[in-house]
Parts: sequence; C-alpha cells; structure tokens
Amino acid sequence: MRRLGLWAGLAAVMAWSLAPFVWQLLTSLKPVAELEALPPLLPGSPTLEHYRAILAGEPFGWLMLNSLVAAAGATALALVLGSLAGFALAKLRPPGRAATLAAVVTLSMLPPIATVSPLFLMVSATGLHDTLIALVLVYAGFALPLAVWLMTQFFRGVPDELYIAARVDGCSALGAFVRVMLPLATPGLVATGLLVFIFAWNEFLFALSLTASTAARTVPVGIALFPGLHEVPWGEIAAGSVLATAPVVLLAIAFQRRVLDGLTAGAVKG
Amino acid sequence: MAAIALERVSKRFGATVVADDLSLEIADGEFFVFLGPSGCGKSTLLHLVAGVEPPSSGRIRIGGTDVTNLPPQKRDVAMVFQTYALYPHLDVAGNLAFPLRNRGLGRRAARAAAERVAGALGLTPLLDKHPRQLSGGQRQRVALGRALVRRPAAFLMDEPLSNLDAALRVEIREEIKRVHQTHRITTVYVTHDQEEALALADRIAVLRDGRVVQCDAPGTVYARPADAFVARFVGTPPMNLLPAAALAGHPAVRALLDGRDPAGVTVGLRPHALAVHAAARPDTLALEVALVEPAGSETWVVAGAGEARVKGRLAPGVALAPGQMAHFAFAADHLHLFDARSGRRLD
Repeated sequence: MRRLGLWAGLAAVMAWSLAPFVWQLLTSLKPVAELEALPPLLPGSPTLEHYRAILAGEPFGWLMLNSLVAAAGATALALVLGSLAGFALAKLRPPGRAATLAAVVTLSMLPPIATVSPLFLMVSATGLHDTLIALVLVYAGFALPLAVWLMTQFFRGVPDELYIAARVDGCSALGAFVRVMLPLATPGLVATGLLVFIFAWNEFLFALSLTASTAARTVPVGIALFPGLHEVPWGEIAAGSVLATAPVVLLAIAFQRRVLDGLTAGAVKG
Repeated sequence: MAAIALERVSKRFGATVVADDLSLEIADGEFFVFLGPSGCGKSTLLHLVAGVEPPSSGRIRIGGTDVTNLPPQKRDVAMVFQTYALYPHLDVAGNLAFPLRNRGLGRRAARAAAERVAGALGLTPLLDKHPRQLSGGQRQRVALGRALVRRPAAFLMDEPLSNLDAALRVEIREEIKRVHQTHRITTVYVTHDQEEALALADRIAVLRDGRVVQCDAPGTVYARPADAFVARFVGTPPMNLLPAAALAGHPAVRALLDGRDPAGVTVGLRPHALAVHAAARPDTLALEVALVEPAGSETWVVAGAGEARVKGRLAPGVALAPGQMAHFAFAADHLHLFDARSGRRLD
C-alpha cells in the first residue's frame, strides 16, 4: 500500500516535470496545419519540417555552438576556481573562513537583474560586447558562489587524514590537491560542473543584453528572436527548444551515476 | 634516521592548551610513546612534528636540523593513522609507490620498491586491490608499508591500532615492533592504551593537560609512577589508591610514612601485589568482599567501598564469595606513597 503511494507520487512528479517537455516535443512534430488545433493531441502526420527549417534557414547550428562554448567555458572556469577555493576553505583553514563562506552565500542571493546595467557598461568599455568571452566571464562569476560552496562541502567530506598523509608523503599543498583531493572529489566536480553547465546553457538575461549578433548569441536568445512581425512560428520554437534541451538531458543521464557514486568508500574504516 | 627534539614547544587552540612549554629529546632509533587519555591533544603533537600544524611557540629539530618552518614534504617523516588514510583511488601498489613517485622516482623503480615492501609485509597478493577491498588489518599493513617504503627519518604513528579488533591489534602491534627492530627507524607513537605503550616503547612520556608528567622507560613508569595520575593510568587493573590513615596500623606503612602525617598521604598498591586470603594473618587489611571477577589466569577480588575500595588477586587455592571477609596481604616493597594533595610521589 505504501509502495503504491510512493509510485503514485513519483508518477505525479514525473508528469508535472515532463509534461511541458512532452508538449514541446509533440508540437515540434506537428505539421503547421495542426499546430493551433486541439484535438488532435498527437500529431496526425508527424513531420520534421520545423527541424529542417531551423537548421537550414536560420543559423541555429551557430547558436548551438555559441551556447556550447559559453557554457563549457564558464563551467571549466568555475570548476577550476571553485575547486581551488573550496579546497582552501575546507582543508587549509585560512583566517576569515567563516566570513568568506558567508560572503559566498550572500553573493549567490544577488538578483542578476541588478547587475545587468553595470555589467553591460563594463563589458562595452572593455570591448567585449557581443563576444563569448564576456558570457564565459559573467556566467563563471555568477556560478562561482555555488561552485565554491558545493566544492567546499565535497572537500570537507574527504577525511583530513588523507590530506595530511599526502603532505607527509611528499606533496606540496597544491600537489596534494591535484593528486589526492581532486580525484576523491570527482563526484563533486561532476555534480557541480553539471549544475553550472545547465545554468549557463539556460541563461537568457545576460545573453540577451551582452550579445548583439550571431557572433555570440546563444540558443535561448535565438529562440526568443524566432517570432516575426506577423506570426509566431510555434513549430520552429518547439523544435528549437527540443534541440536545446537534448544536450542537457543527455549530460544528466550520462553523468548521473558519477554524481551519485561516492569514491571515498574505503578511505577510512568502513 | 634521526633524533627528534622539541624545544619549549607550546600549542594552543584558542583557550585549549595542547602542549605547554614542552621540551623533549627523542634519540635516533628510539621507539618513543606519548601516552595520555583520549582527547588530550596527542595527535596534535605528531602534527607539530610532521609540520601539518605550526607550534604557537618553540622549535622542533629533526636530525639536528631546525624544521620549525619547513613544510611537511621537506621533513622526511612518514605517518601511520588510526583511520589508515589510504588513498582510495589508488590500488595497494599505487599507495605504496605514492611517496616515492612524489620524490621523483620513476614508475618502474617505485613499483619495484613497492613490491619489495609488500613482500616483507605479506601484501604481495593484494598489490592490485583497492583499499575498500581490504580488511582493517590489511589496510593498516599497507599503511605501514607506505610509511616504510621510503625509509624516512622518522615514523609518526597516531593510534594505529585503535580501529582494529582485539586479535588484530596484537598481530599488528607485533608487526610494528618487528619493523622497528629490523629497521631501527626513530618512531614517535601516540596512544591512549597503556598496554600498547608498555609493550612497544623504549621510553614513555605520560601526558596530562599538555605537560609531560613522567618520561621514563616502561618498567620505571610501571614500577615508580611519578604521581597518582600515572599510577592509576598505567597498569591493568589500575593501582589501588587508599588514604594512608586506613593502613597506618601496618608496620611497613608506618615505617615508610617515617613520621609524616597519614592524613596527607595516599598509599598506592597494585592489585597484582595484593594477595587475598580467606583467613586472617598478621598485618593484613581486612575488608568485606563486594565482587569476585575471574579473569582466566587469575581471579580478582574487589572489597570495601568508596575511598577504601581495594582490588586484589585471589591467592591460589582460596575461594571467597561476596559478603565474606577477605584479608589483603602485601609486601613493603610494593607500596607507593603519594602526596594526597598534589599527587606527587613521596618516596
């Protein structure tokens, strides 16, 4: 009986989360004639015409590539800085550690909209407007509090003795970080990287205000610019959304085991 | 190999004093044990020597070199931990080779050295296993091998037996002693277990509140404890401590007191030195039996109550039950006298 309740609950959550995505998928496969009709719920004669349209007519491939570079770059930068900071905060006991962590949490509360104008001015002043570098820097900056916080927690989970052992066994602090701490925090790196990547991939506000052309425009902005003067191409919007969602879903599926696996088992009595 | 010297070393964490103006010389090749109750900061002493933690004041020398400001990787010491601290992402061979690879030894040479150490410690079949696949005893052997593989100037061992069950504890303890006898590497060993300390040490430093209460050979610590704390802490069962007034009638006690006021003196008697008889004899202490504890090779009798609670060894061929009168006999040379107020040894 309790199992039944559990399954019912899970099904409800699944339906709630998946319904919009399924709706997009169905819409993206409907021919134009069926787009604004309901019924049919399912496409009567499924078609790939919208996919063909966005991939041929618009530079959608470029947008995907821009998104990929911006998100991957931001993820790499946030992981490098976040893991170094997290390691230092968790294992090196620097003075002002508690204050630093408090500041990190406070910064993560900052509403992005509050920083759009100043960031726009800074990016323009440095000549980085409409470049992917600007997006990488801004995304990494916004993801950093989360990355620092998560990596600090993951490094705290690695027993102090392992760090001490590495130091005594001949590693510098940085050597111990690279050769012992980082391999043990891999699940943390993967989890953090995934969250940062998804954030950067989905980001809309900064991508809209800091880019002006397909040189740096990302997928979310590109899709938002699909509607023309007189018509809203729902089919193409849906097809674009599906294509934009797919990489993130695949990443999550590919890495979910790594995220869940703890590597530290066996380090200490267990 | 090297001697280790602590010179007026102090370490404080906020208000907690872990080491209070500590000065010690540990000889080259010596097996030196810090013995103290749990949570008295013994591990921190090892961290100071290893360089993972800086002292609040004072200097530390290893092999004559002042290492106070050297980072751990330049001190050439190896550590063995209570929790083993094996690198979970490396197999046994990788763990054993890790300190050598860090010192720039080539992959092949490091692997060969790892295999030699594994052979000496009976770990050869485990070389390709990961730590999580090993039992506690195997893990501690690997940790021992990892410390041994590069022949450090000193071993620092932090309660290496405390996570093992009783049988393994004795086995690994013998292994540690064997390694020390074979290689004569200066070893600083920290434990709260007085039995380990007595079994392993060339010298024991008994710690209390960041100070060394006594630093002597195990035999001396046992036979002539410097104060009542050491007397109770070292030896099982712990030494009986009685107000001298309770025994003032005994001629041996009276002679030892030598005119001191019995009210200011505590008398210590090891349970092993107390023979418990059922029949009254001259100069015995008569008390009512509270408990009888058989312990295999001997049977302990606990008699009296409160401050006059005494444990002694049942004499061969004697049977006693709770409620009966027991007569505790002892020889004058087994008596210890302590100042009742300060606890310091008097004789």
